[in-house]
Amino acid sequence: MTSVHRLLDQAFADIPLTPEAADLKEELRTGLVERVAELQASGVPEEQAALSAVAELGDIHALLDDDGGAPAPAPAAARDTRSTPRQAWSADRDLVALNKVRPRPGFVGGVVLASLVAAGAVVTYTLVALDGSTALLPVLAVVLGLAVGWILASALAQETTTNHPLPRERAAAWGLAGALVATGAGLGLIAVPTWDDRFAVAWIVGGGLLVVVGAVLFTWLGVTQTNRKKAWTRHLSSATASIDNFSKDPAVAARFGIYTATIWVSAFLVSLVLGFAVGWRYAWLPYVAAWIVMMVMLARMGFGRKDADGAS
Amino acid sequence: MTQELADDAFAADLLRGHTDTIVLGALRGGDRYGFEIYKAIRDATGGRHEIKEATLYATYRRLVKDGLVEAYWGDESQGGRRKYYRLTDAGRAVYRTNVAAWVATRDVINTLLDTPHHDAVTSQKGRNR
Repeated sequence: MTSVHRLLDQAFADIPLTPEAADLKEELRTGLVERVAELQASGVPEEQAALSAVAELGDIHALLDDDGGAPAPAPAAARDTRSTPRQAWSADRDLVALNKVRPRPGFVGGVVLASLVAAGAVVTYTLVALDGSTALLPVLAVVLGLAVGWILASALAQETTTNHPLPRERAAAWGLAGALVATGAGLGLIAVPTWDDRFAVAWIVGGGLLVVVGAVLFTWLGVTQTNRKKAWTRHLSSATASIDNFSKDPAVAARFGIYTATIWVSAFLVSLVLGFAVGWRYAWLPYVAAWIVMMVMLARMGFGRKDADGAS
Repeated sequence: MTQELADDAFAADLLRGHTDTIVLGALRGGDRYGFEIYKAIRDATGGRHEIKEATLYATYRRLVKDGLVEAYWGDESQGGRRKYYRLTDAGRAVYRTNVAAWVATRDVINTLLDTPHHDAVTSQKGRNR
């Protein structure tokens, strides 16, 4: 088995050992060792097996020379984008036009309908809750959850100009997570108008449980998500590099993280104080304020200033 | 003899044009490492038409670059470590599109070349899947 390693070293002798070349060399080594074992099992002597395994591999230089091999239709245009910013912008627009995907009429109609159902559920929910009644609220929460889940799942299963569709089961899982969180929030909020009632805690616990299960599902889906971007989008983003300040400057990203944590911890403390001092009815307000502050901060820190010359 | 040679040349050519799709298809059942994919393709064709290993490794690199597959190193301890490939959602979508295009093309060619009817039946099954 040593001979195959020697032959591999020889094949890579005149190739500068860049990280990429080292990576390829290690990958090829596994294949060669297995191929030699295969050949030896069929009765070929070791030395001969190593020689034919390396010979079968073909030219390694060709593997490293080509920058990705035969290009897809888009890259030719994408490569041009490096020249000047103005040309890059028009090439981007051409690519967007070239790769435009029209939404399916059924999808658009369905999402509009589901949005109306969701909005209707929220409005009815608010009116019923203000009325002090809890009769219909659980049903409305479930309706809202189903509508949200449906919008999420069908949007993700849909091909867009820049993204491939998610596989059906995965899109359905995203939809389920959205439905759980929306339903859970709706059930938990039932506690607000019925605060003095002894079922209030049950609503909060039940709703909270659904939210937690949904959040866990969201996290799992996010962590295991693979690439959905189309090749031309990836070429574009590698050609134009990053536009947000976070990927350019890690210190800004770190500062943003610290600010975010501070904002939410403050929001939590303020909501506790409000709850005890004024009433639990208003305890959710600080979270809304925190969310707005965080979004403004994200816009300013992530994309501010630097693009002054690019924007027009 | 020359007829047979021509057949082989044509088939290999045709196969080479679909290397990307074939590799994507080989990854549908689960993650595999480079030589495993090579073996799967070789064994599936009964060893008659193998895609050259160098061609395959070039294909893996291109697919990774386009985001259709993701590569990661396995944690084997004995022997060499293996570089595994995982199909992404983009890869799955491209695979589906390519298969649909192939089925449509094959139907047209079958019609034009007047090849036996059972091909059309199997293609119908393929479309329903």
